[in-house]
Amino acid sequence: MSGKVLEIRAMSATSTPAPGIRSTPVVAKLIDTSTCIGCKACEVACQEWNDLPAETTVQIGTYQTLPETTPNLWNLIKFNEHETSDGAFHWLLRKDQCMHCADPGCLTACPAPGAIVQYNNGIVDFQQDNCIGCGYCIAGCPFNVPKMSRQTKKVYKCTLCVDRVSVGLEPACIKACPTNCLTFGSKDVLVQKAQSRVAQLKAAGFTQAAVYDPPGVGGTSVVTILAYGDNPEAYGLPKDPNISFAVQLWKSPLKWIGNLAIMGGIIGTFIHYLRFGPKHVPEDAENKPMEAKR
Amino acid sequence: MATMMKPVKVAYGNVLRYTFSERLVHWAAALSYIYLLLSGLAFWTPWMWWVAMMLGGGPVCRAVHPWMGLIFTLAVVLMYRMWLPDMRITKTDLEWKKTIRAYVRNEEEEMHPVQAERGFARFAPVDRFNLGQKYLFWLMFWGGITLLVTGLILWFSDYLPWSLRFLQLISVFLHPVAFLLTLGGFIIHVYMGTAVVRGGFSSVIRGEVSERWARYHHRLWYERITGAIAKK
Amino acid sequence: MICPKPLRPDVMNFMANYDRFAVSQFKAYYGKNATQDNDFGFHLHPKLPVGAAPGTYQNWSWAYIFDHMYDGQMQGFFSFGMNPVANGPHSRKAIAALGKLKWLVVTENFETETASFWKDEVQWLNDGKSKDVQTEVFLLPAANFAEKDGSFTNSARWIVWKYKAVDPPGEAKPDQEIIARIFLKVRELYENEGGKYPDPIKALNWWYTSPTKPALEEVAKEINGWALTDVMDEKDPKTVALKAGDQLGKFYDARADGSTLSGNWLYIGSYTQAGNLTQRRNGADPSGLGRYSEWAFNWPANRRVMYNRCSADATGKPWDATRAGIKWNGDKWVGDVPDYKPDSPPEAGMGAFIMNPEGVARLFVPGQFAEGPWTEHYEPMESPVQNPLHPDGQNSNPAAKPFKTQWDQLGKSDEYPIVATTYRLTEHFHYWTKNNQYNIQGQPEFFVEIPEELAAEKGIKSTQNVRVTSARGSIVGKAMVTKRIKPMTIAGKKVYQIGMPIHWGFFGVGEQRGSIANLVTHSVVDPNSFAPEYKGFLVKLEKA
Repeated sequence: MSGKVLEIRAMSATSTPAPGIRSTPVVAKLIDTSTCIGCKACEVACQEWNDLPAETTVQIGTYQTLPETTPNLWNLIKFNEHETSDGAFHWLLRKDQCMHCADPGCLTACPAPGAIVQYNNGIVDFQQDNCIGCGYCIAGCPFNVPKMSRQTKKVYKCTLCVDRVSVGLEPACIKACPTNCLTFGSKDVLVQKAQSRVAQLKAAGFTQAAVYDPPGVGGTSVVTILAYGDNPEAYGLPKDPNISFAVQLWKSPLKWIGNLAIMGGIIGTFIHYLRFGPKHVPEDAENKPMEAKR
Repeated sequence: MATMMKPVKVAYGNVLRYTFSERLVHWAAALSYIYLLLSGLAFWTPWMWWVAMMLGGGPVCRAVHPWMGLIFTLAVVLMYRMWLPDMRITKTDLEWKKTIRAYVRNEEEEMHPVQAERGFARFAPVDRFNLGQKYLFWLMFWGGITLLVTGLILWFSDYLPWSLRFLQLISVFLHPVAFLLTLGGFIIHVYMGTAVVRGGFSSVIRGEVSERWARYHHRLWYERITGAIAKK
Repeated sequence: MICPKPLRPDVMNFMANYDRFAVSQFKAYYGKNATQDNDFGFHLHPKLPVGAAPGTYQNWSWAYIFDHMYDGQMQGFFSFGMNPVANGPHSRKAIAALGKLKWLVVTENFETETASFWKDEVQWLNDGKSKDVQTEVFLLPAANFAEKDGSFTNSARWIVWKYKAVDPPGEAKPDQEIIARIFLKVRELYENEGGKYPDPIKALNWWYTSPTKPALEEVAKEINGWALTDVMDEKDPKTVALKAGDQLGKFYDARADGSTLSGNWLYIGSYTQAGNLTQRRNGADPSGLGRYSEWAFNWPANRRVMYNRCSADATGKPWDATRAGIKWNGDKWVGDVPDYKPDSPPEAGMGAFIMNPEGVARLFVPGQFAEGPWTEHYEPMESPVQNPLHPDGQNSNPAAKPFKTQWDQLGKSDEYPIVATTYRLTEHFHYWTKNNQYNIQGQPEFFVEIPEELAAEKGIKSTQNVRVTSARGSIVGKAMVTKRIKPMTIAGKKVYQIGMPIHWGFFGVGEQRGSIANLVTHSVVDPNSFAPEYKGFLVKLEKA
């Protein structure tokens, strides 16, 4: 595991602080959906870098490779034919993959210690050797990202090429993108770049252009520029994603109440016995089933 | 039917309280529940993760836990079929309920031995199972159903389409809630059956209880059994 | 040698140098066998057959090749890295034409529809049977682009050297080795057995260090060319401009007297005494205009933008100072490599169009352009409407001549009311990516894109099989019903368009799920570029 341990900001299912102490800038992948041509070089670059096999697909009436990401296809261009009420028609293309949330729902929900880690630079990574295959991360994620393999019973997703980023390379998808709609760097710089692109889009008539960096999950290391920023659902994105109430309720109040109740219950029985002891019944009413001479 | 078994007066002053199949089903439920409890505790909190390590590791526990849940469900279903008639809550139970505080405080010893012999005039008489035991039965029954349904959804969460995600979220919350409630019942049940009510534990191991024990703790049931026997 | 003469006083008339280039090329082809006495081997060189009309030559562009082939005018055909049955127009005619050959040599990375045109899987398209095909077909395994070095040239004329990444598998060989081995064997047969006309083969200059495996570095040197003997300076005949064996550095280094050799004059400057300039990788761009003058080599003469004299006004000042092409600095033109006489001052007023003998651009191009000069509107050969500009007259281009075989049928809009077009997908490249699992993953099957309204009219839903039929043939594919194609109103008539991607066939990795889009296209070509009209033709559509 080496030096990367020193960069772990958070781990799943731990009761003690994470070991990371390095200070590194938060990275981000910037996706400009307004210049994506849907060429799918990113889909293939990711599979080739990670040595993932191609999926078997059939034509289902769309240019989209598959309905969702899979354990072998970690990023997917989504093609949405979107018609507005005034008859305007847009073919909206968006690269779909893990958003690398600052407050990851998957990490919060995961019960297996160390199965999900978050690095100081914002990358959220699955450590499949610690994964137990329970699928709770699927419940925790508001973006439908983690995908379970039927063969290995573990979940898989985009790693933001943590192995490449660790040695100073950009992620494979970004390297492959021919239109430069994908860029990589420190999040501060990229958010500024995104804002200026949004200003450019607005000046060009896309009055609702916006940067999608949802605060409900603490912001994400995948920042997306949307030409129709008032309607993320048209791109297949949730409008205001956050960690679901059920998961939060389970992890916080329920966990504390439950743990106290269990301990209270066990201690309570001990105290009850000290105080009231067993039931005293007349001697001959004690249950001493008589043994037959067998 | 009802008092299920054929009334059996075993020789030498004992009666058969639990048949072999009843005991088998009870222990199937108990042991499977214990496994589910231990593995479940490991999933429930990182403080208890070490339990999973003792049971074969995280992935093994996650794989075995739902199957064990099916075994538990089966045991609960069988217990339901065996004991449903005995578990209906009656007017006498509701009478008994008024004295529950005294019962919990083990205040039967204040009874006069003669009254005790006649079976606590102060307390309403108890049939095969007292109200507490009936409450446990229903808690485990409904808890078991909730655990089964939410458990199935959690088991196959990767097959669930995104449109049915709300089911997954509900299950993530309800499954531990049901677990906590059944655990509460389990703690009380084990405590009472082993420490508080002497003879309770062996009754569900060996099946036999003395007639006097039966008369003392479950008078109505005893009379029914012996009356039936006497009629023979 | 007939070179153009200047037609106006202030012109460069660069094509007056044509003799230098033609002679140097013949020297490259025939070496010592090309001399002043035998017109530098002109008689050895293959030529276009003369045409019917005086002063014309036969057309042997793509569609005409297959027409001549169908007419039985060809014995054999070499197809290197091309799949004519799939990527040329009118697949069925191509299949029929190939069946007229005595032999066919296909050099490919994979089995293709052309290499296997003789199999039942392809012959059924013409109601034919494999056993009836008499053509002898050779399929030679070839190295692909990553398995050999060489160069890539893009449409901006940048020649970039590339390096071999992996060895070719099995017995696959690079093209030059395949050609070399065939050539050497044919030459040997001619030398031993004689033949009808062995002279060009025997005279060919095959000088490479390894005759069976010519190094492309050597070929690159040859294409640029070198001096065969010491070459004298043209301004000062006592000075040696180039020593014997020196690579040519600029166009004017080539000579018309047989003292230089150059495979292709356009590439002169790409491989000079300084080395193989196509290998340069200097990413500096002092101009800030994306010129990258020292990245690879740009033909001609590393000139990044042609006709750049037009980027400056009559005084030599750039029209747009922020995007200066070339400008006059008092002594010469600087900036990009000037497409102009470098030291001709603006005041001299030399014509900017240096390749024309008149020095100016042309509006009227007699003898070189099949139509004009007036602008016109013509409908495609198969059009859904009558030409609105000529309601009673000429619908389509009269200079475009349809072929006359039984295969060359054109349809009318009463029977074929829907406009069809063919195009590419980003997930595939031509017909060979159907051998790659990742490309197949991205687009697994042939489909037909159909506008929503048309689909509703015919009761077609996405993924249902539909049949597209033209006057040439029919194909079946999955429907993709979409909002992205809207119906059109043309000349008052509602017209639908459907689209078909081209990348499928019958051979590839795994189950091939597609048909060949070119089964329905026709091969009438544009009279100037000879590009076939396979982007606009008529079909009918029904459920399959």
